[in-house]
Amino acid sequence: MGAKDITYFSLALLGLLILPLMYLNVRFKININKRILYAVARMTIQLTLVGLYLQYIFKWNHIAINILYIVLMMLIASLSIIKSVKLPYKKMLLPIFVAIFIPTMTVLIYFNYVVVRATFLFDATYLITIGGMILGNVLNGIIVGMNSFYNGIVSQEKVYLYRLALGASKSQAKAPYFREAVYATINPTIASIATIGLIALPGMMTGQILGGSDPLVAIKYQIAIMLAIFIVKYLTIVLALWFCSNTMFDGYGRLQIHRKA
Amino acid sequence: MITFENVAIDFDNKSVIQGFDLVINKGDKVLFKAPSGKGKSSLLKAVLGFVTLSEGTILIDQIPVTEKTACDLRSKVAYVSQDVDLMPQVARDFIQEVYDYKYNKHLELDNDRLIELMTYYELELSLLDKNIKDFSGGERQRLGLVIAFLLNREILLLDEVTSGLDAHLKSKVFDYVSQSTITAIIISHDEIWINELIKVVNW
Repeated sequence: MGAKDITYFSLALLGLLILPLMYLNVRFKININKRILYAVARMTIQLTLVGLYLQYIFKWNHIAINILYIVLMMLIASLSIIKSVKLPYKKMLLPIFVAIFIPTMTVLIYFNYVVVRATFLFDATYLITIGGMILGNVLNGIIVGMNSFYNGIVSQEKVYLYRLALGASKSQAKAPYFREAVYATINPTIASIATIGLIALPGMMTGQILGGSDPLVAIKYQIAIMLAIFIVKYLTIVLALWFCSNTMFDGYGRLQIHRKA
Repeated sequence: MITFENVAIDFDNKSVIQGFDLVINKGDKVLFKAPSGKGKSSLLKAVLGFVTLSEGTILIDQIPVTEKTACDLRSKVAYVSQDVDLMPQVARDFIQEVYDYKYNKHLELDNDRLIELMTYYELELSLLDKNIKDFSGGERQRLGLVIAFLLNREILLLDEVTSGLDAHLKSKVFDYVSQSTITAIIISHDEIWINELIKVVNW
């Protein structure tokens, strides 16, 4: 079973529908056509490559390759978080990577062992697909959370220092910004958990149904993945803020890391 | 006792102050008098470890302020600045929170003293149940002073705390500080601090 294949020609026909939009952009003087073309081209190349090597990864389904692949995804996720929040790579790469690695790996293994009951714990079918979905969501959440934490302390530096001056420990002074960061990270997930299915059919569910799965199986996977995303996001932002505390602040409690312009 | 030994502070490679030496004995009240941009506020912040010295040392009771000692030493110091900036929360909750801070664990909130100080600084007691975000600038400033005195610190750092207050309240702050046994460093343009009870340090 599986979805009916679509030809590259029909895919290109869908792409043609972008052209009227580009015409409208010219009419409305919205200067975005270059970016649209660049983004579509990049997507096409990236996904073609992913499709090609995923074919082999699923065929080989070797424990070392699967784990290496997921670790590589985490590394790229860490790098894009650091780039996006504009933190120095040297100091922040390790703490961010470890903060992603621990919860993602734990939840993935738990997911495959307890929920899916996969016979092969590191089966590419589950490890890489579920891992990819989790990481994609975690990436956004951590960027939002780290930005909130950093901006909170920078914009309220006086309040923050005043609390230190009044006798707060470093973690007490950071606590309100820590809470805000965790909240900013998980709040969108809670909102989407609450409204899922009402407003839009989630991608994973659609994919599974197209792939021939029973919708009832698809919703179970959807619920499982939403919970997994939520748990990993929560744990990752907490760990990321803990691990970064030592590198981000000096012994006086001052923010030590300054963002690159 | 606060000792400044050959203290220098730079900002963006520009020297703000250098070769600053001063010993402030226990109970002394000192007014820092210098043109703006000459590092008065920076010196106060350096006592708390919020500004890094490019040279020299600051000692509180013979202990140098370093990354290791700063947090402990802060429990000897109360700092009030011109614009006491606080998170939006009910005043009473904030005061309680301050007593829950790690370095204040040994202290207990003395409600009678709180009321006494609030009354002295002419803050209505009903303010305690109001959100700090609804306080006026002057009320916030006086709340900062009340908390500073409530904590019974040995050292008081006051950065332009009387500037927003009317003459009557200015003299109340002056009286309170000058008559206490606390060691104080004051930065102010207010004439009221020019007094024989206060030592002036010029530069």
